Amino acid sequence: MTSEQLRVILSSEDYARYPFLPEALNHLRELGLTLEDLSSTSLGAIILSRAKDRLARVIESSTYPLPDEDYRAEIAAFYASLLILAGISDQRLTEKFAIAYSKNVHLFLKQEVEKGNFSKLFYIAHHLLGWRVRQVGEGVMVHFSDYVQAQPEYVGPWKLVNRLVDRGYVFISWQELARLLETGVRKYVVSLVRDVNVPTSLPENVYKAVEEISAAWSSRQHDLRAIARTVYSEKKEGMLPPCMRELLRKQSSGENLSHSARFALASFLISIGLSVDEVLDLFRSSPDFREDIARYQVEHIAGLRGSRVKYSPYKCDNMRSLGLCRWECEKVSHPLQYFYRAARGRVPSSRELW
Amino acid sequence: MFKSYYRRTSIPPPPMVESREFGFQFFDSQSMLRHLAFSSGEELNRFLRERVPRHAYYSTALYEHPSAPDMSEKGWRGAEVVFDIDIDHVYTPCKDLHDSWKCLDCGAEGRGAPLKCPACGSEKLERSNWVCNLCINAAREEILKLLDFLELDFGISRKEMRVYFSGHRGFHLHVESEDVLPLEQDVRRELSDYVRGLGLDPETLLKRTRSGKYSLRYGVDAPGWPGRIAKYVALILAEDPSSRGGTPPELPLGAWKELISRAVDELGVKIDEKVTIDTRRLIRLPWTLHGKTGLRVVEFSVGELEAFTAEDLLGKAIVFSQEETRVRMPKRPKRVLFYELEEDGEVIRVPFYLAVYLHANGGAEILDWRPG
Repeated sequence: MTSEQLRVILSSEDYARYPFLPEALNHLRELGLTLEDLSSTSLGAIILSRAKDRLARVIESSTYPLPDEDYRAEIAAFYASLLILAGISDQRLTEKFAIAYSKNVHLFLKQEVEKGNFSKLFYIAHHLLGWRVRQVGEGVMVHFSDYVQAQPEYVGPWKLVNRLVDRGYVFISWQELARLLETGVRKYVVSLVRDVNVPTSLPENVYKAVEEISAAWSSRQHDLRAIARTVYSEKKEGMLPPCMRELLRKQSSGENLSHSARFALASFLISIGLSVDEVLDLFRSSPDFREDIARYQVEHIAGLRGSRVKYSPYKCDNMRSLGLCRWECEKVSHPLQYFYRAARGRVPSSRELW
Repeated sequence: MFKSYYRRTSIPPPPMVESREFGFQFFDSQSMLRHLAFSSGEELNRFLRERVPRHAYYSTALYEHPSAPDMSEKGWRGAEVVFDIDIDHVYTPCKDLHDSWKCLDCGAEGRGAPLKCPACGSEKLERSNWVCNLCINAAREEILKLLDFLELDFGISRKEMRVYFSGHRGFHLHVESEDVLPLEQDVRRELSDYVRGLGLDPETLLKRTRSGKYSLRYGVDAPGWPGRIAKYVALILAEDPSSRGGTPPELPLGAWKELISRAVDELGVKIDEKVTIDTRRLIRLPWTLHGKTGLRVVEFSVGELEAFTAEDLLGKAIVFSQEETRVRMPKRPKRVLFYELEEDGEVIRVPFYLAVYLHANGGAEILDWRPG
């Protein structure tokens, strides 16, 4: 299957499922909807309300609802969502949206594979994302530079070391391509938001939508920080990932932690909302504790000094490389991820490896 | 002498020199001068001739504003992928002949290059490290293994790779292909894990057989690690008289895990992963002199790496005179470069370029100076 031979015919169902495709956007342009229309017409109100609903669901439950039959409204709601996200301009919210959205796309693509409609996957990979892909026998070869930038994780069967890699190409199945495209589409959606030209003055109802969603998002983040405080004060250790629980235990019992262990623990605690003083109190029991040096370091981590960059804690891969992680936590690639999920009542399952 | 080298040589600048950050260390101080940028090769060479640095480095990364003093203001625009083969990370038996250490905590001393003090466990060791042709051979084996992975597995052509002698204890391989420039840290770690064989799961290579044991899923013609492991297993088992030739071997899982682990240990490349993972590394500037040795960071083609002896490889890095000179060095390594130093007496006779090495890396006193 080469790019010249490929001709993909998109149905209205496809537009609803893959509104990020240029063909879908063109369809929307043909309808002649303007930003003003979005704010002042009744159709615009429906679209705006749908977009707000989508965004609210993403904030609340990290899910994006499946599209319904009205594909034009679906495409319009998608782009309206991107516009609102661009207006709010919060990187974390945009990522959250892209993650939830691309999970649906993955689902649809898996269904295509089951029906044998490989051409759609090929189309998205090659024509939209610019990946180098070739069909080979029952599967696909994808160029390693495209593979690694869409790799879901760096352990286990996805790791390059466990795959067939030949002259720059990695062998994968069509199902695996569907999973890689989830990451590809996620990054693509983030870039779409980044490239939106938000006019300096938005029409009233659109502006109100931006404010509404922005408020919902900050109050959500506020809730999580409040939970973080209770964890510390009531020592609800169940919400902490096993690696942090262990570091906390060692530190509290007076054991000497290595520098990277201390950094890992301190940056995690700062990230979940503990103050510099609270973190210092914890480290006070170290045999080599020195108030001035420790305060300097923790303030640095919290972004109060020097480059004023708040340091983010190590992710699981790094924790493993540093010898600070001997667990496997299901679907978790960052300690903060574990914590936020646990705080919402969905404690990830984990097992100790040795 | 460094001065005369830079005066008579014109260093070819790295590609896209105007986007690189440069760093230098000088003879009169320990600190590093950073955030320097040059708009051309001539400007760079003028600096080298005027300031004569002890060590010269350049960034693997390309920046919008390389001379910005704040990392966040430089504007990262991608970076080469670099692999560093350093003898520090490869076991070589000759280290006992030329390396020595002294513990700063308990005062114990000894030969070789241990990670911790064997007496008290401290990591604060004062080290004296040297390189010899045996070390270089070991490093060369590793770099050839690496080239194999990059060419056969990743399809990176020789035109897109450059290999340099590091100036002291190993080699650097730079990949300049457009495909790798934008790669982030995670991806670089993945590439580094790949050539090291880190994270290889033996069970992905095996399949269950009818007798309840396991055999390899892939044959010797398979690409990537599966093929390499299959070849290794075939060689190992061919040496074993009890194995039946021809049919794919069936072994219990435990035996496979052991075999595969040995294969990874032998076939994996011993790189210093920190260098590869770093997206903003300052690495030694090719064709400049290494301050501890007086040898230059010289480029080798793959053909040269394959065919040259260690002596030839080191020889290409020598810039100073061969004339014999006398050097006073009471405590000295037994073996350095391709020489075995005499055991007796404080004063020995060596070629001048070796004298420079002994002086720069070991504080030896050069008694007869020769023109550089």
